[in-house]
Amino acid sequence: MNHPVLEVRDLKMHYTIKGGSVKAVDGVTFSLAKGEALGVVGESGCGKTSLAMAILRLLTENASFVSGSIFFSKDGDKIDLVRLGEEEMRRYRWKEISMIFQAAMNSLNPVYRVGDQIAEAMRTHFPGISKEEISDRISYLFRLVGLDPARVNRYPHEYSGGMKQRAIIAMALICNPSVVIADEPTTALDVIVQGRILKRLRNIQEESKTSIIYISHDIAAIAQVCDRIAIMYAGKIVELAGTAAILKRPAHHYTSALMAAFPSITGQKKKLVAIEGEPPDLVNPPVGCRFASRCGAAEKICFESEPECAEIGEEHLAACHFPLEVEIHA
Amino acid sequence: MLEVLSIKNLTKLFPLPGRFFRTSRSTLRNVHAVDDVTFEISDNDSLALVGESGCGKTTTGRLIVGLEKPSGGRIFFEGKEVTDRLTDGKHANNVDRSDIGEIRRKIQMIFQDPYDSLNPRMTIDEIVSEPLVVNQLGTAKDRTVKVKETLEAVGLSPASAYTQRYPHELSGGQRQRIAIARAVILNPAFIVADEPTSMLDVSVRAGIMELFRNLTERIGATYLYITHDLAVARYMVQRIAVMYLGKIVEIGPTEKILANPLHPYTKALLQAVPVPDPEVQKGEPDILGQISKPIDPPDYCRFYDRCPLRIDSCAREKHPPLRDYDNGHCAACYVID
Repeated sequence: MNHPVLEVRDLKMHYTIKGGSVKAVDGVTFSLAKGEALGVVGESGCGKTSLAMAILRLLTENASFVSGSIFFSKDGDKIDLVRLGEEEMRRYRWKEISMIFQAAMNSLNPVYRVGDQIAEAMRTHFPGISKEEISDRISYLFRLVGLDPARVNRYPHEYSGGMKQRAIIAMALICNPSVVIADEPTTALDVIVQGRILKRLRNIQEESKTSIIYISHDIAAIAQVCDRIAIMYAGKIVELAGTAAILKRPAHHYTSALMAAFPSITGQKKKLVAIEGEPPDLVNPPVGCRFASRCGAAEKICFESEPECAEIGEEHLAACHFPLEVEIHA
Repeated sequence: MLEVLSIKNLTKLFPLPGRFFRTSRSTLRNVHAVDDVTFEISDNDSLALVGESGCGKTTTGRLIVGLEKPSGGRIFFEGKEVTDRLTDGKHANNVDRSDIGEIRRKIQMIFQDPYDSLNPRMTIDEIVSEPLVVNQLGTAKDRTVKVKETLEAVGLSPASAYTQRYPHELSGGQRQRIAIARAVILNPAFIVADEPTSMLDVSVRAGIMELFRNLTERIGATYLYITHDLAVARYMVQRIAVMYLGKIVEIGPTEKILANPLHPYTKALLQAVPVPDPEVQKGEPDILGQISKPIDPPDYCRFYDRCPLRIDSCAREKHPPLRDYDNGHCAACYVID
């Protein structure tokens, strides 16, 4: 793997609430290589969106970093975003690390022309840039995401859902960032539009060597565009491996249970199996493995000691005392 | 097999708001949400209505339970016409309304969003027993017993742990179980389920799908399952109808539709469904442009603008009728003939 652009190490970000703190991101470690697409998959409340917000340092009032680092590297310089002041962070946010927000249809301001909204970020980060340069860049990006550049002077209500999503992608790419975080980029869209937009993002990522972190609850949708996938459960990454390995040879019991619960349109019509129980309370998380109470293979040790996220195969990490045998399937 | 529900040429137009000085009826434009839709559903032969947002699938469901009044067409339930009786109720003229309560009891609905469809000020007991109260069935004691039974049937046991709680204390999956309990407590013969699992997480969804299938089988209810997800439909129903801009473009047995789709729109939808398998390479769906709005659409095939197979004559003929190609596997297209 070439040099990582982003290295997250043992990141803990908690929310303070009445009666304790919610351990939404609780010891997350991963790295993102230049030009790589990494998927972060998990269910509601597992902390995946909090992780994205933590990387961009877009924290709510009651959120705070407890420990860990987020190293961002560019041109040989490596800085820890956690330790930057707010003013310094503004130089990186959007210019180097940008985001495609969930519910993109609502993230455009209805009273400004789409083109003007996209130009705003560029004017902020490149003061003194000429109007022509901005409009050239926007036209270029519109073509890149598959929009007609003639539409830049239209208002958001004149765009369809898929077109708004494309405009939001153009907005995320405007400063040519090293890293784009896409939080559920296609969740609200119909399946045909979803496929087209993901394909477009994949092309952009491959051509411009942008690194992308896809955050999603839908493993099938993002598997098409990700090189590696991290599975998140209750604030932690429980498994991290290449996309094919996660889909075909999951090692963590949660990953394999997720796959068993997923209805598929092809192949044998297998029986769907739900995961019994509910995720743990993140104010008082259990001592041992956080999945133990729902896991069919849990033994005594699982409730007593927390498993390390360890290498169980080539470039295959899993946090489990009794991982499913990876080599047997291989 | 006994026919439970059938709809004939069902149509629903929603007028768009008129502009200033141009409000006369002749210039009003209409959204053709459901346009001349016909199908039958027999006993134990549940149907899924599949399509993209805005195709009219939810409106069709709402017409069937009487939450919308049809602009045209007829609805038959257990062989009797119920078209106007469902919506007009007591105010209906010239219709027999003696058994209207019974018909309404027999047709129930489950809504998409379990966060919106349960009254936050009512306890679970009040929510689930309300259908019994409204219909004046049983004594208070009978109702308590029935609520307990039903809650346990939907997997919320012991029931006493839930009856006095409020919806906000429950998870999305539990709320959807409450919505199912409310729909089945009257032992309906027919249920319209409008995307009951689309708001739920994958791990919870499988359990709700299983519960819904088992429970409807046990009480002998047939259902119309509205979904945008063909993979979910595959697990839930015997037959699938694919809708596009207010029209059914293909209808037939589930496995036939999935293995051998006939209509170019169904083919494109199937190509677009993501598959969690690294060995499956997905091609670009064969479809042009994007979905248009069904506002006073032209007479010719609704899919014409996006169709990869279109020929000139498609734009001259009326929207194609459904034609049976293989024992009940029907499609509406001139070109595939």
